[in-house]
Amino acid sequence: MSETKKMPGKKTQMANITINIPKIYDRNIEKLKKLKIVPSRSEAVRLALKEFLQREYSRNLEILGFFQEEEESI
Amino acid sequence: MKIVTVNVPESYVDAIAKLTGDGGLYPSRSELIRNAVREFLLKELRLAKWLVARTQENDVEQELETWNKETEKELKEIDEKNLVRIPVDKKDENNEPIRAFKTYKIVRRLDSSITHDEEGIPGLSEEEINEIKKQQQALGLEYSAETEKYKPTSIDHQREMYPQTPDYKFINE
Repeated sequence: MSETKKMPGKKTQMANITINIPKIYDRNIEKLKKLKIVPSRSEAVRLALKEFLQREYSRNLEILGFFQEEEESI
Repeated sequence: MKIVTVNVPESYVDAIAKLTGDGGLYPSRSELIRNAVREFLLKELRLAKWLVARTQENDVEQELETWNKETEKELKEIDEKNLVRIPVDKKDENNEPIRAFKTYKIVRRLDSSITHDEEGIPGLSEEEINEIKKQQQALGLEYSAETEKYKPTSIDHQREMYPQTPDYKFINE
């Protein structure tokens, strides 16, 4: 897992990252591609991350008191 | 496991970094992404499955038929007694006032006797009710047979007793 390069000249700066995912997840992403729910694997991961991070930052972390602990430790 | 390379916005990478590493909730970036992808796949596949099953089971015609039946049923359910027409201010292109109405359906009649109910007041939690009871006790306004006098027995009786209280509520506006 490593960051390799940045792509300049685009509105949103993209980072190229390499990850390990179970084969079955990859097969299922292919399924979604066939159903035309997602255009590409990259887009699927971006969408997944977007939804996940939104959920985490807007609600879950607050419920867990994640930010409170951070403040206390400072 | 399969190694894949994906392009993600840098802001995501920063957000992920905060959740991993020291004091984080996930052991690694890969683990977090696997988790995110898993939840995403479960959601989308469930939806896709449902959609496929639905389109196979019901033809478009059948669906239209059921829709028609439903709307017919809805139209029948409309009780004219429960509709009120309220005039609204409206002006035409030449800025002249025109007569216009909006139709509302009465959904619930406000019943003032409801506040005396032992079961509780709708919309208030038990704690809030207890708080009100405490305040009433402090003021010497304990619930007694005396209050029964002011409790209307029917809607007609209620209208008689409290002529100024409206007994209807609109869904919109």
